[in-house]
Amino acid sequence: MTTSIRLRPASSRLSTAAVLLLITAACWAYLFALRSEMGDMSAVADMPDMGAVSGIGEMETARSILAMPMTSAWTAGDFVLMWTMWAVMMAAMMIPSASPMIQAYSKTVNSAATSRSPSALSGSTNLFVVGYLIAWSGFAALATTAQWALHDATLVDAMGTSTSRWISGAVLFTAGAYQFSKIKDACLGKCRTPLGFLLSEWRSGRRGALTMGLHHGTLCIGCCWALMALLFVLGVMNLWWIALVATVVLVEKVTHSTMLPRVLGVALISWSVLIMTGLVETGVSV
Amino acid sequence: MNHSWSVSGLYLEACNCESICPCRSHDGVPGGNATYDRCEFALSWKIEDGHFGEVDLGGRSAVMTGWYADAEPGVPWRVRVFVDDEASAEAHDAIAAIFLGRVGGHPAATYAPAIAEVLGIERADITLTHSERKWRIGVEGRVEVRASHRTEAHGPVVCGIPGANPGTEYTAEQLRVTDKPFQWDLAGRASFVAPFAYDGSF
Repeated sequence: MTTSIRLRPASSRLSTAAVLLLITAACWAYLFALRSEMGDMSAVADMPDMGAVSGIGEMETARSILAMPMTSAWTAGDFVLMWTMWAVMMAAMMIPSASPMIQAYSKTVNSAATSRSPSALSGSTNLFVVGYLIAWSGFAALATTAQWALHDATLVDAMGTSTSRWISGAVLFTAGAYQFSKIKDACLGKCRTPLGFLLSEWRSGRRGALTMGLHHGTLCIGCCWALMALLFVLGVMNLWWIALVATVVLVEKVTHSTMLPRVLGVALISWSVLIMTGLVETGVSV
Repeated sequence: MNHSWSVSGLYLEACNCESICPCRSHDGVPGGNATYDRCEFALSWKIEDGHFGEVDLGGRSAVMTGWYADAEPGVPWRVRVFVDDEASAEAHDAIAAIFLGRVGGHPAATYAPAIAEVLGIERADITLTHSERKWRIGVEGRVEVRASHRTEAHGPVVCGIPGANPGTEYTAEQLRVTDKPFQWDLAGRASFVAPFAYDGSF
């Protein structure tokens, strides 16, 4: 005799997949809004005289709404706003990739809950996602700090894009070389097999949910930090590149190909050489 | 990602209880607490037919060692799982997940929620010998169970782990686990054989 467990009672509650889709859509909507706001601002900033004359008022207004430090030194408020932008961007880029893991976690925790203590485990999936996003917010803080430092050194422009071919080349080369590292392989291997992660890293309860989410997020950062750093070359606020990097991350994870990370590594290293030798321009625009 | 899975085959176990193990239902009387307040066990599953999504699990084996104390609140189990070292990486994960109750089905509905701590999931050289009057669970260097004497029963003997199918009670001449912190070496205790069939989707 076997018992088939209904993993989640059929109810009006949204499925985990639908919730993740909504969160991702909301994050992308925020990025679009921010981008269109900044598009106006950068148009102003790009005109040398306008910035000094009539642009200021408009910029200050825009800055108070969505805000992106365009000029001069950052304030603490600028840092927080940029950190928010990075954190939302990471969520937008990574939640689709993490969704198989989150759904697997959800199913496991619910299958245990239905048979034992339904109430004790409710909300665990949310905590798992929170843990995951906390990990990426930590990464976002580091990225923001890097952008701040680069901004202060005028090595990136107002949009967070590298203005130095040496910085661009170094980031591309690092990202390319990292594709061949053992740690990348190890993290990617764990990210690719949700069941394996659930087995080896299982922690029970709500605290366990948060811990597991954090841990999975850390593994994803181990996989993807260098690809994310590419945004300093491609444009921190360039939505096309953001979408492309997110797609690369997703494809690399779901295809289980051993070749793909290597091919990507070779491409990035080649690109870095082209940039450092001056054969290709630093600025990338789509 | 939605995998249906199923595994069926023969379940074989031994524990430190006197035979017939008091946790089993015997002749319609439900089971109760362990003979010595603490249950120390070695469980095994030999999968004859099975799959997890596209992954074939036929012919693979798993062993679970562990203990629990009836007096401890919630009666939490501490276990270690051994998976057949011939299993592919995918099969290894699937087998461990199934028997630990992580992917639903009968284990998740019955014994697995009691598993409070998993001390390890390891690949091992497992030998499960299933022949009448010569039953054996062997995990290279860690577990040795031998049973050949049938225990007289007054009616159907049922164990919740394999499920509702009645099985056969034996007395094991050896139950040795040398796998810190699990260490016991006993003779003349309960052993049990029954078919199992679990399925679910994940």
